[in-house]
Amino acid sequence: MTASFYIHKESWLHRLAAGRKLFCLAVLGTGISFVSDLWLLAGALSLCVCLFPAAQLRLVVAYNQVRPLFWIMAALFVAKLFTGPLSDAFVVILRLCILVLAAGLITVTTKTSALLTVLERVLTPLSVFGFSAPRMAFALSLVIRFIPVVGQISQEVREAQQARGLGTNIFALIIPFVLRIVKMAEQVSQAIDARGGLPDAKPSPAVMRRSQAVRRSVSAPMGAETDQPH
Amino acid sequence: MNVMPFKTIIEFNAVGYQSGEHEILKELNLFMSEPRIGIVGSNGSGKSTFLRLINGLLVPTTGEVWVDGLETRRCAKQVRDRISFVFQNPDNQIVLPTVEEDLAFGLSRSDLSAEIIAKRVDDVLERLDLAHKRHEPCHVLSGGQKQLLAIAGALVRRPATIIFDEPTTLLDLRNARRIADVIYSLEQNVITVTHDLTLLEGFDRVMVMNDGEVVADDTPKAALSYYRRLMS
Repeated sequence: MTASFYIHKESWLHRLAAGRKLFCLAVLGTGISFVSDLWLLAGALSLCVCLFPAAQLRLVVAYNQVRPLFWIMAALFVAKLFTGPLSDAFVVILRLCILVLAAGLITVTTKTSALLTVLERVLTPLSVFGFSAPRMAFALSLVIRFIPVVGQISQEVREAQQARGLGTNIFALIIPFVLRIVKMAEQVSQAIDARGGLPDAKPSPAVMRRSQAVRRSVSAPMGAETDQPH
Repeated sequence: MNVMPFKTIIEFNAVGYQSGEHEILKELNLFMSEPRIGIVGSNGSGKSTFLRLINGLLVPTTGEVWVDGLETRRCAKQVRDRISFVFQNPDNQIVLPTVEEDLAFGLSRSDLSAEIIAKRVDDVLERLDLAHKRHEPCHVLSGGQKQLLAIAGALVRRPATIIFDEPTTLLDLRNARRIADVIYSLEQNVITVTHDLTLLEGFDRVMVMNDGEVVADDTPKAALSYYRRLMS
């Protein structure tokens, strides 16, 4: 679950702009959907694997990207065997591995904030339909941040109920889990407010003017610093 | 580190807070300007509600809370720029995946340039000895480091006052002492709710809350002595 998070290194792949990486991923994803040659796909897969050491990452990081998908790939492989030749089953699995490795490589070499900046830019045209790109990007970052926290809560609830002999009682697991998540969501929302609010929730011009006037009147002794508290 | 170089003045004028039928705070009238204020009280006495009223996370059912001439009901955003909040559970306060990104989040709505934001983040990471963790995912930090990150998230906004809601409750003794040292080293005014009575011994003022009321408001020695008697 944590394998896909950013790993800080000083490689050329880490330095490459997030937009370019995502563009390459889009090109790769589109490109391999037209390729059925096993040797070409195997070559692309090898290239993806080699990019991990090139990014100063251990091969186990690459392995961790595909490991959670083993069972899905096995099921897919078997299903493809029933509907076509063996080579087709290999093609599907190779394509999937290439995409997962390439996407994983991007997430471990790119900060979430950089990815979200690109996402925000891509989603900005949707603002004409009333969508807020910064909020959508922020929501996504919250999801990424809280996946491990939710996993931790789930484990705590499971252990607590197991200790009470209720480890298989679905209600005993779900109810405390949901209650804790709701409580946490309420506190996270308060924390976001306390830390300045949602990214694009700018106050109205009138409120900004009043705020600046209040700040000027109270902080007059500070002088005109550029690095002053906001 | 630059902080707002003026004292924060907080006034509670006949403040009451009710949740449904339950009266959590009963008509409080208070004036607070001391640099270090501690609040103690039994569970459910209204301490956390009291803190949330100060920086406008909650608004009073009756009465008004004023912070440096700003009424929290009408000017919550400006009040929160002056008063930062550190929650009991840092996991609920850290909202972005890596340490550096989370610290920068608190300044994302400001008009500061990217360079100044980066400088502030650097300063606060150095100050709290978290610089080596700047690129780490937040979920791999220890409990003490998460609480330090939460404090860093408050400090990076350079508020005049920082509110702490039971900052050491979830920590072991070593980390609790470390957080206490950080709290004592702050230039900012501090208001803290805690069950760690030793933390409050060097404070300027301690209030004891019981059943939605401030039942003692004195020097730490006198107030804590009263609190011990109340709890015995």
